[in-house]
Amino acid sequence: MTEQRSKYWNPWLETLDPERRLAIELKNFRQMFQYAKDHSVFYQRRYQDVFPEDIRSLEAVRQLPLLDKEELRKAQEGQEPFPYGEMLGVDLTEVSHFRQTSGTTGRPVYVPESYESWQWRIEIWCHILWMAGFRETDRVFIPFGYNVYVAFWEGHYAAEKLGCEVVPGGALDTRGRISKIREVRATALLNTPTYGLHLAEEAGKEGVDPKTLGIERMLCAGEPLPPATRQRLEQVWGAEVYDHIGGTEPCAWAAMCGERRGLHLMEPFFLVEILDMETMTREVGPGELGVAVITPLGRRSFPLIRFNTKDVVRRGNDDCPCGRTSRMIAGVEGRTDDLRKIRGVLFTPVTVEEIVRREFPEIVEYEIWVERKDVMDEITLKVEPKEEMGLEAFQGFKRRISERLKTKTNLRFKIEPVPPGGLPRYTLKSKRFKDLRKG
Amino acid sequence: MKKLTDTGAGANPAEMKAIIDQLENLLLNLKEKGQGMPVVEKNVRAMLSFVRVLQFGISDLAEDGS
Repeated sequence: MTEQRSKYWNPWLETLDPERRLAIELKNFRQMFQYAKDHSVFYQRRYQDVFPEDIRSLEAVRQLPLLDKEELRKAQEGQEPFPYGEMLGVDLTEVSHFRQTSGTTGRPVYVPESYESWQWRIEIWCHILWMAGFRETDRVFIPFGYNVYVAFWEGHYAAEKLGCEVVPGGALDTRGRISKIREVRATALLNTPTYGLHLAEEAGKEGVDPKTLGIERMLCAGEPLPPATRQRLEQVWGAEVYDHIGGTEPCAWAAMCGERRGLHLMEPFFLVEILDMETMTREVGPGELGVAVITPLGRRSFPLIRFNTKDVVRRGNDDCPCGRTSRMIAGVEGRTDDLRKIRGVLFTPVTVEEIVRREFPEIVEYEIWVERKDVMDEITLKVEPKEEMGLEAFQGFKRRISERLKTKTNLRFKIEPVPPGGLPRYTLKSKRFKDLRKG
Repeated sequence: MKKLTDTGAGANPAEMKAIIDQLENLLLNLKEKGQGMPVVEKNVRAMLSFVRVLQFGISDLAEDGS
């Protein structure tokens, strides 16, 4: 008997007619809204005078206030039950997974998952892995100790549920991990983009071409993955590289399919709103930038109603040849937290990453520093070039990259060389952007 | 054997929903019978979590007229 497999994890969900999908999402939104009011002190207070039957359309949804991370912190700090406070949506005895945010923008938020809610998250990740071509024949290597950070745990459990063989790669150094990839003949990796590049760099130093390691696919997590970085990873590993976007609080809410020409919203697991950055009230159209506002529709341990992710994304065209009918985003452009005014110009670090990765393969690592000198902002790109680059070559490189950065950002960068190994290497979230201005 | 196409056209959501409902009822019944026995309670809790995933991905669509 020949087994016939679907190219979709759940063909019904993934090919839903958009109108019907929206109806399902609104129905689930109302259910989740009522559940949150019934089970979380925070929502009982917040929505005392709002009732699910009032929420019959997207316009009605948009009348509800946005929820941001600072409110989650306040609802937890000093509130019972410790440590989740008033956000908790289940009895504390039902919580089986402790996760927390990375704390990049302030005090970490603690995120509780019941066994049931955890399975709901894992199911979404099964969709993501399946879309990226992960199958039972894959041996998936995860080169991290996952600690309390959620994405690689989700990837681990979902790969296991899907039937892959999972090889955890914590407690090894980078060389040990390269050697383990070869030893077990891993076919797939889950890692941050930065670490994917670092693994390749270290393999190169040992005289190993990463392409010979047999990795066929890589799913990235933890950081933005601009197209140039994704293509660079594909080139150095000789593998298909996939992106997804999510967060500890809302789960993973968009991911790439085999076409790799944008990310599918994980509908109807979430009600996703992509709102204009100025007023946060208007749904943006294809090609426009907007901020993602997410409501997970089936996760009860930590209900979020209209969570402002602060992720800035570009809306895509919803016509993917893969046949999935979900709405799409073209890519992630950064975070509103990272948008800065420098000398009156709006700047996002992702623009620099895009230029560095696409046009300057001679850069091994970089950092962006913004400082205030007297009354002027000064922006510096610290670059660690490949060891073989000589002084003369560096001068030419410096001129070229300055011109490109000026054209793309409208800012004049100071370019500062750093000796080999002088900049930090990151395994989880990289911190390449440093705004050192006071106030 | 029925063939499942890429759109799931060979499968019947209503039939599947009925089976998922039966599973839930069986598990709740088992939970009641094994009350106080961790081996029953904890395994049933885990299985009900998977049932809920199926309700979200299959039963909800059947209810909605798929």
